[in-house]
Amino acid sequence: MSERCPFCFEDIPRGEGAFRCTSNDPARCPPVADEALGAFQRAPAPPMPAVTVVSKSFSRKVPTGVDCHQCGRRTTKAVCPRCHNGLPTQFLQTGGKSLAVVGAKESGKSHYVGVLVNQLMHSVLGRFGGSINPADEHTKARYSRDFRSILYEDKRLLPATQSATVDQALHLPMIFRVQIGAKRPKAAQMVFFDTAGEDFDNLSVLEAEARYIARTDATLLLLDPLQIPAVRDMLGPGVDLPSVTTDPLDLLSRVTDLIREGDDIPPGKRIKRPLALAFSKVDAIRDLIRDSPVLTSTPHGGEFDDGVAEDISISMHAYVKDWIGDALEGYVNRNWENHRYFGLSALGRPPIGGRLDGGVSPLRVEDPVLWFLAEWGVIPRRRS
Amino acid sequence: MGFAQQVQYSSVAEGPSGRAGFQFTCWSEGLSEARLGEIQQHLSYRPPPDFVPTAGCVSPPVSLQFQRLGGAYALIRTAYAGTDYSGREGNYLSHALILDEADAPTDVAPLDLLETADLGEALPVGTKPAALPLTELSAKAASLRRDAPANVPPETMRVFASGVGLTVSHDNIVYVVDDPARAPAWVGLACRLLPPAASWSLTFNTYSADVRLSSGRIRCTGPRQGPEPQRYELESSCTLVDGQAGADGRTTPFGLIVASLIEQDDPEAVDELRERLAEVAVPLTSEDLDAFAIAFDGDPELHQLTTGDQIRALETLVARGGSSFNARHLSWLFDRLPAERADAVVRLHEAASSTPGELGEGVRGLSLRWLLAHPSSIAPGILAGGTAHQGDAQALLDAIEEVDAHELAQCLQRGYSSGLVDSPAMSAGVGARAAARLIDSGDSSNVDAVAAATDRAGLEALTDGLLDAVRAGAAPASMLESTVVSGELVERFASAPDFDTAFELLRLHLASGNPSASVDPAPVVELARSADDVEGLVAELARSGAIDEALATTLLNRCDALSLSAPASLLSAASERLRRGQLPPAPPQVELAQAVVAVDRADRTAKAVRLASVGMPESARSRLSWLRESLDGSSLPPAWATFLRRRAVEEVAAVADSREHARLLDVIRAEGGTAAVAEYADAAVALATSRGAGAGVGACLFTVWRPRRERVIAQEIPRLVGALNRKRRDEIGELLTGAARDAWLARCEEIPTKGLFGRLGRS
Repeated sequence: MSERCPFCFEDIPRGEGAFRCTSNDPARCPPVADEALGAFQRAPAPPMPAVTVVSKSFSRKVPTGVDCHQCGRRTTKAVCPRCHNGLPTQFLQTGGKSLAVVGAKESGKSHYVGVLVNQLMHSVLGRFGGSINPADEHTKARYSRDFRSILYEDKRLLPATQSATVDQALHLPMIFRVQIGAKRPKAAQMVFFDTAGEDFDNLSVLEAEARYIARTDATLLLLDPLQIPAVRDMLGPGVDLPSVTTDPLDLLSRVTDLIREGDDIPPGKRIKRPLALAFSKVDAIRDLIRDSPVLTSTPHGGEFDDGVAEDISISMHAYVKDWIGDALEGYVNRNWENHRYFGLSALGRPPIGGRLDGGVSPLRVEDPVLWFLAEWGVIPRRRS
Repeated sequence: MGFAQQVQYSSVAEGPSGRAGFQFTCWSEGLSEARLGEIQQHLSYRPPPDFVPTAGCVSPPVSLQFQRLGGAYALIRTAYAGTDYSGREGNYLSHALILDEADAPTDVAPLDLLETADLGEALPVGTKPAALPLTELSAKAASLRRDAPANVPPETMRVFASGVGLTVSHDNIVYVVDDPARAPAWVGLACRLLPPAASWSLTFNTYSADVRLSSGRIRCTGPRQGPEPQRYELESSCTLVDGQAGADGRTTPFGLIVASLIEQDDPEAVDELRERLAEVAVPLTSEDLDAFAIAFDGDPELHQLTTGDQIRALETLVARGGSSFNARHLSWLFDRLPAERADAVVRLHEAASSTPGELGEGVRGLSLRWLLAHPSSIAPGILAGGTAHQGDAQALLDAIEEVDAHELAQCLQRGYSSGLVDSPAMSAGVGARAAARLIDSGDSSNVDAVAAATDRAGLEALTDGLLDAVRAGAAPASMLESTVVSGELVERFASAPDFDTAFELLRLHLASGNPSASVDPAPVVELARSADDVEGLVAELARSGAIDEALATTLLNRCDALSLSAPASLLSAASERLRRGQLPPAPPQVELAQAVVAVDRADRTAKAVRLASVGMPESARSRLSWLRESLDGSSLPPAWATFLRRRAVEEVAAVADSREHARLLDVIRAEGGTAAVAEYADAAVALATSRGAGAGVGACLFTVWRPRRERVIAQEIPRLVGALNRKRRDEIGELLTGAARDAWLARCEEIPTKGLFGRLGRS
């Protein structure tokens, strides 16, 4: 049994832990150069309070604190034993589940994450008797600053996401704590990464800047239908089309290669972690998918409805075959053991002049995440 | 000077790679992918969190960065560019210059170079922009004039300057918060506090939305939002909110002193400090800055520093060592240290003892020179416990040339007591330099103390130096009047091998006019071989008034030994002294008189008379008159008066003029009282009875006749009468009256005459 650090994605065996001293007296517990943290930040080792490591190989109990080896003061501030980044409270006890949102440039990844969190917070998880909250200050500040205030207060589109090669902030995940149920609550730490589309164009960049993709527990591939040539042909002139950037199959193959390499999965074996292939911006192609249950099915309430999800998946699968052909389907089947198709819209309506004056009206953004949570056993599921 | 390569980064619909999005849009020929990868991590840009792009809105701040790459520098200008090709906000344009470290124009600050390079115009995508000549860029940058941020509270400036100083060698970051428009002024100020070369280690970013994700030693941002920069992130960080008093961070001596100079509106002092720092070729540490600033300031107490601060800083500076860092860089420091900071210099000297190489040697020399040049400021023996090093001796010699004459003695004392002067040769060098220093100063009042501070070899060299200068007329003879130097001269002429040597030494000694020196010229007298020798010697001695009883005897003996007449000069000298003896009171004349009398007592009658008679009138009467006049009307020294009276007795027999005797006795009575008259009478009687007496004696005796002494005189009359001829008997008889006349005449009848000069004693 082990948990995975949401920063460096190294496994932390149960029974092992590390804790940073919380003494405020530098005379009593002088800061030391933190080489591990410096290596993670790609910077000189910063002077930091000392880290004390606990390692009990045969223990199944997660350590909750330790006496600082420098000053003897008790500390419960957990950090990763490998990279020394601070772990959210109860992270090792509850376990973390990480989710990578991948997709071509302009496929809507940032908008999806921003709207998804808001939906989970304010409507979806409430129906499951649960809640979702930022697990640390960084997540809280970043979500508020980079997503919520822009989308919901300023009512404008999010700026283009910068490449992780230039924006060091993108190396830090947003971690949310999900808790379902009141009496014996089930909890999980959901870790979101948002990556610039251009970073998926280059495998070396992916390997260097987005290694997390190979180590996450689930992958959500956003497919922008407006970048699919067949769809573009079918849409009328009134639709504002983005530029065609990256072939989704190319992108998926890079991600797949990265995962196989990271988890050492041989070519003959399929990847077991769930893969959600979600068409974004379905509001823009509403006319093309008029009969799809994406637009008609009721939302999940209290339990994840496998039946609804499967209907949607079948429907979207059919559109994929129509619009892209068999290549993507064949590739997914050969490489991914557990996958489903989804359709969603983060904004619910096209922006006008870069603004969202009509507000945000998301459509089924929660479906892929609820599926993941159901797969992980965090929320109950049923089949209607 | 080389060239700066250009590169631009932005989000475009289709870049050189054929893809859309953020990427390098163009770069100069020769830039490698690795170099581009290095610079890429500095190209993030986010507008302030409260920035809402609307029509006519104020543009977000421009970010000016200076960053270090591997073997190169990057000067980067990043500005918000609005929407990208897809219409989304968040695009920006970074325009960077890359220059090799070796090409960096370190005489200008990176910020100035960056601001005058005209970066920011979007270049065509996919082109290869030309590299820019650094000569032109630096020339433009050198002419840039920048104002420091205005209205900065003193306490803010102190923390800021301290923070800048700490960035030199520590993982220290200075955060400037609130007004990105003023950020370049802050960065410019920081560059101005450090020498230009050091400013090339001061990386900065004038704007980033999140300072924690920014790079550079100075990181500026907009109004404070979101999480505070954590104190533990980097030790000794400084965070100041522009426009507000105070700042979060610690202060250093460098910061305090520099802020003080700025507060006093003394930019020249800041520039001078920077120039001093620039003289050091090696990378400076923050501790170096502290030490330099403390030493530069010279008054650390003014800035709440302690002696301990200064000493520690100086020790650190020296102990730091470094191949290119030598004592020359610190010489000005010692020039500035006030005398009361001797404790710091002593510690510095000790610290240098363990510093190898030229630095250790040099600082030991500097500190020693300082200590020797400020002897009054250090406790006695403070150097005595130190260990002498090679080079310290030279420092001592150098110090001798720098100290004031009144400090020279103590300086030498330190040198000898500390063991720095460890050989006769060294001591001779010290003595010679000390002589030169004294002559230069023209101060003869400290010669004695200086001479006393030396050892034998040093004193000899010192004396040689002074003698040479006096001989050459470069120094007054008073330079030799020191007791110690005079003693050395005395010893020298006492053992002089020939008359000429000895005589010159004696002459110089006498010329020094030292009254306290006990000089015995006798050895020189004994070396005289000719009349010229004696003449010259007597003339010199007489000129200085040095002829006393013993010396006069010695001179006369030497004349006898050489079968020479007493030199006229000796006699004229005595005459002169006698003449001068008329003038009251003059101890040398008294001594001469005593000497003459002593000569007489020594039974050297002829020479004594000759000597004593020199300058006297030829006739006995005139001499008696001269003696009377000499005694009359002046308060003579007792010894001189006695001499004159006795000399008068000498003349008694030669003058038979009772009136003259009467006048003389009146003078004697007036000058010496009854006792003097009695003494005169006793002397006259003694003379008369021992040698026989003529009419003069008789006249004298009868002149002093008094009832009290009538019986004594009466007893003497028979002998006296027998010694006189008839004419004298008649003369005396005419002088007498009453019973005395009757007794006299009766006695003359009884005793027949025996001739003019009868021998009363033998009869």
